Amino acid sequence: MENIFNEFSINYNHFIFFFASSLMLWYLVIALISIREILLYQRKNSFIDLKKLLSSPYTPPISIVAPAYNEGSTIINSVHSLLSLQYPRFEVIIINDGSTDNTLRKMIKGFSLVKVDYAYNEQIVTQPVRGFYKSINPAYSKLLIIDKENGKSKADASNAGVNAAAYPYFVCTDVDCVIDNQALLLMIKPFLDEEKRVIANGAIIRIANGCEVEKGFLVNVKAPKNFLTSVQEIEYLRSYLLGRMAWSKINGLIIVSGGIGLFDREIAIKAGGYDPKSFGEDMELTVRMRKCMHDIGQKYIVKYIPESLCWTEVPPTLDIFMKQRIRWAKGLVQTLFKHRSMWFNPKFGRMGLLSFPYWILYEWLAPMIELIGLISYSYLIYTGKINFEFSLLLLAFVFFFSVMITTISILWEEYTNQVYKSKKEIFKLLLVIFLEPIFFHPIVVYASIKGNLSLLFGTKNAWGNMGRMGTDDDEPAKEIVPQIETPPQSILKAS
Amino acid sequence: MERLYNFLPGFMRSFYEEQFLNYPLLIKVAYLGIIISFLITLTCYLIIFVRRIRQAWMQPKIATWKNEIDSVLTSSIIAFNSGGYHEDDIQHIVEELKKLPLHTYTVRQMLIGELIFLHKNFSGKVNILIRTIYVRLKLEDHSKRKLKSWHWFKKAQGIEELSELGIESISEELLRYVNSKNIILRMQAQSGFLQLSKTNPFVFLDYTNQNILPWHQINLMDVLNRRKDIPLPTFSKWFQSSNKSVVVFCIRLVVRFRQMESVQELLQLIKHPDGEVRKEMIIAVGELSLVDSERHLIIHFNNETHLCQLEIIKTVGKIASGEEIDFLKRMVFSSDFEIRFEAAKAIQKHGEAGETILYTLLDTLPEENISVVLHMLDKRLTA
Repeated sequence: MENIFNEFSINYNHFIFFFASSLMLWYLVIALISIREILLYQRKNSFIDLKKLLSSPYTPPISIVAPAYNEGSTIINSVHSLLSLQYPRFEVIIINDGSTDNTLRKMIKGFSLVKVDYAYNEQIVTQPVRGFYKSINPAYSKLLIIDKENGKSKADASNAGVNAAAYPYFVCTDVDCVIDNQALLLMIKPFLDEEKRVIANGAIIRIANGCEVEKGFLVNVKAPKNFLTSVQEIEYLRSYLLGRMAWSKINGLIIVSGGIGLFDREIAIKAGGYDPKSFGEDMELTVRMRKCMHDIGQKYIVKYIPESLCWTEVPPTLDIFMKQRIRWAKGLVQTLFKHRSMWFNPKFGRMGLLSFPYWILYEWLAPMIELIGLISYSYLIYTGKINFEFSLLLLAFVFFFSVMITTISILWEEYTNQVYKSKKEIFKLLLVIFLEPIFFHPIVVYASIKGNLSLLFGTKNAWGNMGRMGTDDDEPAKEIVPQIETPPQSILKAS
Repeated sequence: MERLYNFLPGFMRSFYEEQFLNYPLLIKVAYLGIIISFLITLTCYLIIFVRRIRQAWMQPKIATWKNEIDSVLTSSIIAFNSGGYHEDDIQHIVEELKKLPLHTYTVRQMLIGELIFLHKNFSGKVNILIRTIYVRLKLEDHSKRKLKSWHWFKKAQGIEELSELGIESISEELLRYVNSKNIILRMQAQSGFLQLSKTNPFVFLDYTNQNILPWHQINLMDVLNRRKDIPLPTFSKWFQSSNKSVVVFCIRLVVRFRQMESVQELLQLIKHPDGEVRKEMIIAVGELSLVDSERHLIIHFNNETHLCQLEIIKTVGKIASGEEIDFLKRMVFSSDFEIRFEAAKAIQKHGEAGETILYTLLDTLPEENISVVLHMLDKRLTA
């Protein structure tokens, strides 16, 4: 019995070695691709004058779709913030997903809303819509409110917004996110200057914990203060700035975040809209839209731009963080299995042969492989089957490699956005990098495994909610509870 | 390598000889990996640190240079506007600007940027003055050198500078790049040629075999809106182009400059094999308010794609002559939501008469079609 276990451990560790080596090599490759892409983007953008988009009649109009569930304390400021975006022609659609608080009442009062006879074309089936509201104040003519029965998911609410959208492109966001004033201008650009049809475009999501937000507007960007939020900031940067930029370049990106994403409405509807049963509806929609394009047989691309355009709060405490990551893990597995016919399928090009294998091996299975590896590794060290000094050396290698990749992403943040003006803040983040593999990564692995187990034993889908920054003046802030958000693809697993 | 080895301190050499060489390959790789990762991390730290220091050091300098450039240029332009200039005055301005460290790339670029900004916002004699300053400071040569660069972005930058400052001598050279695979270089070459060619600024449309992307069109339209002196040809002559993006762009130009003499050729495009071209043509009919062409579009309605059908309905609404109201009424009965929605909207655009028709339709429409009419009757939704 002992011999069998010994043999398993040794063989497994060989497998781990090749697994880790291939993963590291892959990260190096995507780090290099993203560096090239970011440079190219910056050079291209130095010739772009966004004012031309503002004054041109050929700038496509955009619908902003923002579902809201129990957002009474912040809704007025959030809507004001969305309405003030810089763009020549857009509408803001807020979907009140059967909130049990005063969200709708506050909007009716705050924006002088009245019920209207809106001709609703339910191209994607959703929970029943109770009514549509428009403002009698011309200042809010861009605003449309949909009041619907609770669909127990952001996806169902978003679908209602997509149905009602009047324009060919829609931005899907969370009502509590703070969107950069020029976000729409920057996000529409790839749709106008690519030879292929762009079906979706994403941008960098940044962490708003610690930032100063006034009446729904970001007034001062500051680095997160506690360790958990700081470490999430560097994780987001690594994922968005390195990971997604590279995937976008090789046209293998299968996730555009729910925080901010611009989509081709026609294709989103053809693909069937968001899946309300999914825990990771944004990734699932991106995959289905890509699949739809393959079925149509039209060349397409999913883009990503290295611009920090959306600011959102992340879980500040461990229990909320765990709930979020468990949900992400479930969303990932759900999406992968729902589209298992695409795995290694050459019919779907890079998505089938590159993206799916990557997500299966390095995102879904990696935590499990890592855990088993750790157990067998410890056993081998304990029984003296491997040299302790060498083991430490290998761990140190993985540690330094992880630190290097993350540091590169911080360097690129400096070159692209440089949102932190103070030297102290950026160097604080650089120090957190050293702690991430030791203190943060094990928690992520644990949450991922728990998510997989939770999916096996079945958990219901439900709206999450989050305490918010910059609440409306007349209401106290709500308690912070788990949020729903898109997983940034974790680009480094310190296995 | 041997020299490098000899350079190592003694303890490292003994570590290398006595331990490292005896390690298994995997451990050797790990050792090297640690060293490389550590060095790259350290380099990143240094770059960030040096960059921040440099920024802090440069910012006040840049602000000073910018102030100096602004004060010389602004005062000279104000003086020029009020009184006019002699050769000595121009020489004085040039000498003043030469006091700046123009050997520095940053300062040269700042000055060029400022000159471009002024050139865009002024016209006539002031622009001649700005161009003279640009040439006398030999900044023109600096921009022309960029044209010879291997890097596309340098070339594009050079084209932008020379064309914005009106250096006509390079116009022919730009034709080389109007078919570039690089989207930005192509865009700069097209808009540069448009600004610089005195005889035939649109001739690049003859040569273009690449797409004129929507962004390119926005850029070219911007040039045309800014530069009223560009001679305009009859754009319908490119309606037969095999490049459909050229046709779409030219339809838009016909609309933009209201070239009514192109209407006949425009209407012929209803037979174009490409749906996007036909759609643009239908939009153009509406934009130009070609009342006589409404019937022409409706005749083709049933043979059209769904997108073009929607555009025909929108166009009839835009023209709102009242001649085709029966067609629109029929369309409100359509089983297709988008068709009936656009038809109701088109009727609503007929003003009071349209509103009356919508009210009468409420009595005859099937239940599921009523919502579009109620929508159009609600002023808050149609405002």
